[in-house]
Amino acid sequence: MAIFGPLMSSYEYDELTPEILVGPFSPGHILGTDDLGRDIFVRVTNGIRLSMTVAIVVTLISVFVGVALGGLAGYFGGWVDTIISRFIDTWQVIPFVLIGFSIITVFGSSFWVIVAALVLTGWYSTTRLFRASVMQVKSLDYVEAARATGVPTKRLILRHVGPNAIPPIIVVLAFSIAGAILSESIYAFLGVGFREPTPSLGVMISGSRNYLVDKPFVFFIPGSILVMLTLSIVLIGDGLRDALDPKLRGSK
Amino acid sequence: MTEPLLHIDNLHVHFNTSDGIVKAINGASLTLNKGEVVGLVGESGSGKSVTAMSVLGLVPKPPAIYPEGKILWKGIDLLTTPERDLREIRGGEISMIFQDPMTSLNPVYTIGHQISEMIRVHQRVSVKQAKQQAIEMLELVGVPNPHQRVDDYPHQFSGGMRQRAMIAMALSCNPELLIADEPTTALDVTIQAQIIEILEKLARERDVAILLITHDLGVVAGVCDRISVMYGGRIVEEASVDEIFKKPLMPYTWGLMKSIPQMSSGARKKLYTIPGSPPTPRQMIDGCTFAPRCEFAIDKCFTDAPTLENYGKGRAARCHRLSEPDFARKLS
Amino acid sequence: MSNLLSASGLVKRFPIQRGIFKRTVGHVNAVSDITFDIAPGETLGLVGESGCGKSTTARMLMRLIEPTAGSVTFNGVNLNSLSREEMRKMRKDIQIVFQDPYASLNPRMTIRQIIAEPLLVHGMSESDLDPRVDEIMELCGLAQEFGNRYPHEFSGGQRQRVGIARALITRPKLVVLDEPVSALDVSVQAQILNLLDDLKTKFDLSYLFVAHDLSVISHISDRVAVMYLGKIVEIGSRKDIFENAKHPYTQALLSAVPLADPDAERIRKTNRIVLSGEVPSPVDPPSGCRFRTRCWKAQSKCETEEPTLVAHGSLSTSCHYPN
Repeated sequence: MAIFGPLMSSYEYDELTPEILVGPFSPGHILGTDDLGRDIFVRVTNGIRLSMTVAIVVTLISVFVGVALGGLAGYFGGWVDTIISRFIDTWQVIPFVLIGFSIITVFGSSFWVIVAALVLTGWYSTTRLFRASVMQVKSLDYVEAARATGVPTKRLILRHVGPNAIPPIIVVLAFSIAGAILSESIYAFLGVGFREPTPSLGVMISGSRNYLVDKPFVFFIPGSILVMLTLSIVLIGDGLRDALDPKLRGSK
Repeated sequence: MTEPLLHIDNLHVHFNTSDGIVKAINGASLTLNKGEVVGLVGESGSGKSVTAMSVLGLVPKPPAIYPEGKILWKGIDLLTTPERDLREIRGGEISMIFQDPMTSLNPVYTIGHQISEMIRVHQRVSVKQAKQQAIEMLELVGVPNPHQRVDDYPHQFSGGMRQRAMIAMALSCNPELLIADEPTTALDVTIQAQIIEILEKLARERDVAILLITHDLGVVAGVCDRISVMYGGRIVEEASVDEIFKKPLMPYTWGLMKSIPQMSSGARKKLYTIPGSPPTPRQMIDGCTFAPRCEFAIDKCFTDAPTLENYGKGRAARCHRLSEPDFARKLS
Repeated sequence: MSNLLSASGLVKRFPIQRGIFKRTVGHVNAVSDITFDIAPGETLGLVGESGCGKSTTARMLMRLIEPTAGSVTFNGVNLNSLSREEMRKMRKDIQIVFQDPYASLNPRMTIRQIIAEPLLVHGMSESDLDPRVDEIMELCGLAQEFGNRYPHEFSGGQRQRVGIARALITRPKLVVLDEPVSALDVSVQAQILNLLDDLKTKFDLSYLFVAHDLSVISHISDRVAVMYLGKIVEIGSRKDIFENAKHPYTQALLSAVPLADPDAERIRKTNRIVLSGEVPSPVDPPSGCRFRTRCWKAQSKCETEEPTLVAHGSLSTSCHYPN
């Protein structure tokens, strides 16, 4: 639904309809209008698109880095692992959230700047998790059996270690996406991320602060959308992991 | 004839799972007298552990259901005894030790603390007295330097020592029955010999009855007076230890005895094998659970479940073909 | 007759690392100076209790674990001098069967894929695989329709058959078996032992059979080596070990094994050797003879001088005061 959002309404997201101010569920506006007369439905659907895009891009980059570095560290161990792990430890100490804020303030709140800021704070948890998963799988008997058979390294990684190391982290990836959505919304809410008129859900929640008492729907709609979005991503991740588990596939 | 200490009477245990009801145990009966050592032997899926845990009510009650049967301890049915009273019996009258001493002992408390705790649950003694008793128990089971070791943590003990500590804990309140669930399976052979020696000594000296659950026929040959063989959730044979090994009546027992490699340096023979694998609780059929693997099975075996019949004093077996006059002789 | 495999002076020490910079604070002396041979068509049983180093030794023979010192010669080739790629190619001649049937099969591959993999990685094309896979599955008692199922759908015994099929499909000359029946039920154990026996005859194999169960060892081995704390304390033919063992540890081991025979047990109980104490830590093994801390015959010489394997006919014993 969110993908087709802008096509479903005849209004542009920042088009003002001055004559209808802050009225819920008026004709032509399914979810009503906000304080500036903009259609909430359109804004919300755009907000969803925006949040998801940011979250997916951030997660994809984090995962890419995470799998590469985490995989190297987990599989090869030794000094490779030591270097990467110490690097992560050091990175964690630096307050990248604040640095992220500064970056956005300096470079403006465009899409890629925000993505960069979120990646800086998120990449290492994926790395650590994947490293742990790889190390765990690598120690299992069947990997040793494959080595004993003479399976070359490339095939070992692609056929034995990889497919068994990835599923446990899929649910984590879903949480990652959900987390990125929330982070982006929080940044926007605090005024550091996306700003008006960009329809980020966080912006909308922030903007509704003045109207909480008499027109609470302006707050509740984007708020509940945010919650539902996050929840559905998490549930998808859970379902995906179950679907990939061969133990649940075969007949017994 | 004195009343038996423990009498498990036609026990049925079913589990409520997401796939439906699994009938894990379908009529198990067992008797134990004072000071006796009885072995409960079976392979995986036979239900021996569930039977043992049921005695002390250690099987979580959903998902377990007990549709039929009784477990009589000195005449009282433990299955209907309230939890409060069961707790008194656990440790005080009936004790249990398990296979893996590492996971059965709490890693954050010293051994002494755990033994003392056990003592103080059942007896009104001070902390100091309990500790003293704990030290005595450790000495009894052969832990060297008990005064020092009583303050050590489980991870500071080796596997064999931990098992001794578990035995000390189990016996600290002078129970009349000790249930030992695979006590030596996780141990090396030389340590196993030590543990069996302790168990035996304690049984004889302190007149403690022992229910020894294991799949290791060598262990039961050395220490048990009587043996009950379990297969597919039922007791299929019961006899004295000599009879079981020399003159088994039920084809499963017979097959099992023949398939154990004997330690010898004589000429090598092919081992007799029972085809297939032991059934899981989900695979129980209506007839005799051993029929699919039995080389003597007849049609009746697949449709009618045989009952446990007596064939002499303390001797019972569950097989249709035993009603034929020549069959038993064929097996020897 | 030349030997198929010769292990010479194998040593393995695992460093113990502490701290953030992984300082080495000590070593676990898992295997210390092991030497033995395996002849073609022979089964050598390697027996000992946990921590004696038998599994480590077995893995060193195939370079699954790299020895700290010593060498392994297989078919005249010094395995330790081979490059990684050369060693990889050798692997079709030395295979291994693992103890745990539940962990040794990749849960995401079908049975056929698992069994076929060794052939694939050693150069066979996909189109030639099927008949070989069919053949080995049948020999190992695996029905054809099992082929497309996943490991978790099978019992322990059946999975172990898959492991054996996988090990044998490349027609190796030597198969290392690391406790292959320990995790199986008694009735299934007999099936697998018989299977291993049949396959050995059919394919003219040699086995290194690692186990802690002496009854199983006595059933399947031609020669037996007894290990204690990283060393071979006695090695000889099956008859030598089970009838005339001279080393106190071997005697204690034999005495401790529970026999499935009540009469025999009664007799043994009167003269069973029960060792005192526990196995010392391999980090700091006893000086001189490693067994002296538990040996009833230990004398001062045992503390100062380490015994070496001395031959008494076909039996070699490492003890200052053998029987």
